[in-house]
Amino acid sequence: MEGTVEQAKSGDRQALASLVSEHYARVYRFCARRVGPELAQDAAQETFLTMQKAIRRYESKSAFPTWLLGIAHNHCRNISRKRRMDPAPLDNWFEHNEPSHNPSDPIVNREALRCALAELSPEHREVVLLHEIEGLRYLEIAEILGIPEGTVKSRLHHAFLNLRTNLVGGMV
Amino acid sequence: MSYREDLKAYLDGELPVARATEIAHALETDASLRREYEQLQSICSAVQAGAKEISIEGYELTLSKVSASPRHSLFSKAGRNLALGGVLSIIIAAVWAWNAGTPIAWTFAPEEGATKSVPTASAPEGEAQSKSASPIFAEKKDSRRYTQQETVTNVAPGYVPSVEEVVINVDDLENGENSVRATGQMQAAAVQSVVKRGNERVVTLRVDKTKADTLVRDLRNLVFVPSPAKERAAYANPGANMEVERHAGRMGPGSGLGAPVPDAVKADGPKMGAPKALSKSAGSTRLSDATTKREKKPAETKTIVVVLRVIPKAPAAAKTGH
Repeated sequence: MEGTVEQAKSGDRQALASLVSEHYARVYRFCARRVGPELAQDAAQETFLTMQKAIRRYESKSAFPTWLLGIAHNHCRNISRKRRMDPAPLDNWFEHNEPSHNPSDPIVNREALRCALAELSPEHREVVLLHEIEGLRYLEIAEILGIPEGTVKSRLHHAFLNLRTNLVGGMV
Repeated sequence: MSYREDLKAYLDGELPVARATEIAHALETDASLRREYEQLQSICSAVQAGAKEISIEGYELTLSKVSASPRHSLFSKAGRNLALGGVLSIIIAAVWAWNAGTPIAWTFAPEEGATKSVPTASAPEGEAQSKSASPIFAEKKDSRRYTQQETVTNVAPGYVPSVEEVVINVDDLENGENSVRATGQMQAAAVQSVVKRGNERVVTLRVDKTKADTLVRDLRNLVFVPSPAKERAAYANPGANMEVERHAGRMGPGSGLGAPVPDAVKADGPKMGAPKALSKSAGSTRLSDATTKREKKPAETKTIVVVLRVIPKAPAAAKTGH
């Protein structure tokens, strides 16, 4: 991938297309979980157009996917601000299950989990989303959000402490 | 730091090896810590299992946009701002140049047939303009302005002056003024101003328009010397009419009372000569234009300017000579 990035930096359109093909799905999901599927296409498109303009300034200090998700994060944040939306609404990334008739179905626990997630602060919910759903590591989350890695670790610890406290007796 | 605070990081594999080894050992020995660890595992699994499925859309469109039109630095935000600033500068410069090159008279073009007043050579143009633009009471400060001869032309057709002047030669100004006042009271005229000037006294009366003719007749019969022929000639002269019109603009309804009467208003004397050339002064043009518009309105009252003048007595030597 580094070679493709270098080619794209030199203006190779084929390399740019390769980068789009390789990362579009991840970027689109990232955007959809933040701004919803209606706006995700525009956000993803803007992310890649920004990538095209700014790729000459990419210095490989962070991984290319992290750099790309950082661009996507900024676009999504701007969209959320303009529309005065929650930066990562729970409905966009966590399943909302309808009540089931099967008492053995773990849906009750999922609903409890959903309620517990909804009670988290936006900052805590954001790191949970990035780590548990997007599968990013602490350092990557720190680079995307622009916060220290220790803050990411602390936020995750407190987020799961709150989740566990709320879910004791319900799920566990 | 307690093991519990690092439990989530341990679960995520984000701890250094030494710390991870410590926690692993603690988990083997501490049952409650192990139970907490298992709860965290369950929650993580539940969160990941609850993630929404998202179908990908818009890939082809994005790919075509990225492949088709690479964005150049010329169209970056800074470039756009620079271009916008340049366009705005050009517009501002054009507007400024347009305004600077446009004569003022263009905006205040006088109507056809409008009157125009002109300062004579005795008064500088700038001074005349300031006179035209200044309020009426400011004219009291400089009586020299009243001696400036002003000439007007292009009197609007159908113009009827709302000011009439009567020149009366008297022996005594005080007696003459009292007689004028008494005569005016008979026609319910109001004395607007009395201006004393050398061997003259100018009494300005305002009277109802229907009684104006009677008052003028009474005033002319008041003393034995009727208005000189020059006066009648002046009123017959369009230029003279215009002098009266300009005066009426200052003294007319709504223009303020008690203003001094300029000499130019007088119908007699050499000041009411032939019309002179028009000035190109925009300020004078505007004033005359506005004055004419005011004068075209029907006046409910009429202003009578009575000039009382002391007749100089013949020298004694001349008498003895006879």
